[in-house]
Amino acid sequence: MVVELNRENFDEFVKQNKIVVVDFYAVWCGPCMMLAPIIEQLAAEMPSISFAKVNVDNARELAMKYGIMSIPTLLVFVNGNLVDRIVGSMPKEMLKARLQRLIDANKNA
Amino acid sequence: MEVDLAVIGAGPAGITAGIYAVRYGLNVVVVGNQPGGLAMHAHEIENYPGFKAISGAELMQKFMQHATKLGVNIKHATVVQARKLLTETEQFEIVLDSGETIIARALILALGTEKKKLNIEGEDKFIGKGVSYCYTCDAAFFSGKTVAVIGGGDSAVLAALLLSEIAKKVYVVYRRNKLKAQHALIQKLKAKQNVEVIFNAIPVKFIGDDTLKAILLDAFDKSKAVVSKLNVDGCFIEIGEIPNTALAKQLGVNTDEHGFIIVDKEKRTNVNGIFAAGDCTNTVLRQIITACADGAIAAYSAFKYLSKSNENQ
Repeated sequence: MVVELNRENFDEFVKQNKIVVVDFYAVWCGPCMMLAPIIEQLAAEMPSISFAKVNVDNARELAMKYGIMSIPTLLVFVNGNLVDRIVGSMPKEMLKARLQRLIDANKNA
Repeated sequence: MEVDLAVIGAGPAGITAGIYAVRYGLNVVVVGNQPGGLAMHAHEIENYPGFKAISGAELMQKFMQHATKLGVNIKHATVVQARKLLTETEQFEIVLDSGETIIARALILALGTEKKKLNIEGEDKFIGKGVSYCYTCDAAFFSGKTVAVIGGGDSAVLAALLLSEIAKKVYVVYRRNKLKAQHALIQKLKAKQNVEVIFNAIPVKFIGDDTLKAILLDAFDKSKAVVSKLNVDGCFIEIGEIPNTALAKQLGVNTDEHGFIIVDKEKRTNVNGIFAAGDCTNTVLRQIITACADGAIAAYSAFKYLSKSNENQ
């Protein structure tokens, strides 16, 4: 499941989950539409990661806070700290490998 | 998985090939790592008949819905390897990034193109921090700001037109002395008060701190002077496309001096059983409608080819 976040619930979601991937997107952005189904699939395949999305049109202040200037952008948080930023769409297996490395690195943390 | 026909690429050419192939009764799969292809980036399309104005993303969604409804299997995956099998009859094997292997009796390469980069200092550093290759995606983040568009063709002018509605000031930076975009687009651009075209200029370096702050320029024709520095918050690069034909080379398919796949009027390549369609081929016009037409012809030719090889078996 990919949780839709906004200004009200963003901070809490990031704090409460160990590894969080947030997809900043918009409905008018073609590459975002390519990435969205990949994120849905990864959410089903990688249960140790909490996946979320932010519609930049509804949460402009969040996009500004994190300096988003290009979408899609994925922000990756571990224990509430921003650890990675992935700009642009990418093939599923490549993204999965990048996230798997992050899971492995944080297994014993 | 074994199929009659595998189409590699899921842009307008690939999807159309899928639609035609399934209607010819072929067992077809369309594999693409960017469903919708580069057309997904188009902000507004005004030259696809039947739609006075439609966004690329919306049109491509319609394409995909149409194909899926007809029973075309569209796989969202990257083909990492392709080869011809050493069997008695022509067969090809393609390997996907998921590890899955597809065996096909014929292939249509609809590999498309990707946006060219400038390859200058600072370009990679500022991707997502001011440098963008997708104006439809990123224009909205530059409301009230100053931006530059690099290029002088249709996509550069379309980018400038959209940005002029959002940004405070838009520079169009082009190396030549005359824009090469369609007349109708140039006329629209001329009417914009906040757009300034800088001719005879090539970007040489992006500078900034956390985000992009300026572009250093050089004169293309050194005998004429050009402003040396543009202070901008964003830069949209629209300098054309290069073909994605790495797979074609793996298969021994011939390309021209620019890397485009050489096809005949039936969209056949030099390799028996391999056809090609759309922007990746040595065509004269690269538009959605021409890609669709190519896809239809390629599917027809593949169908004829497969029927003939059935007779010979």
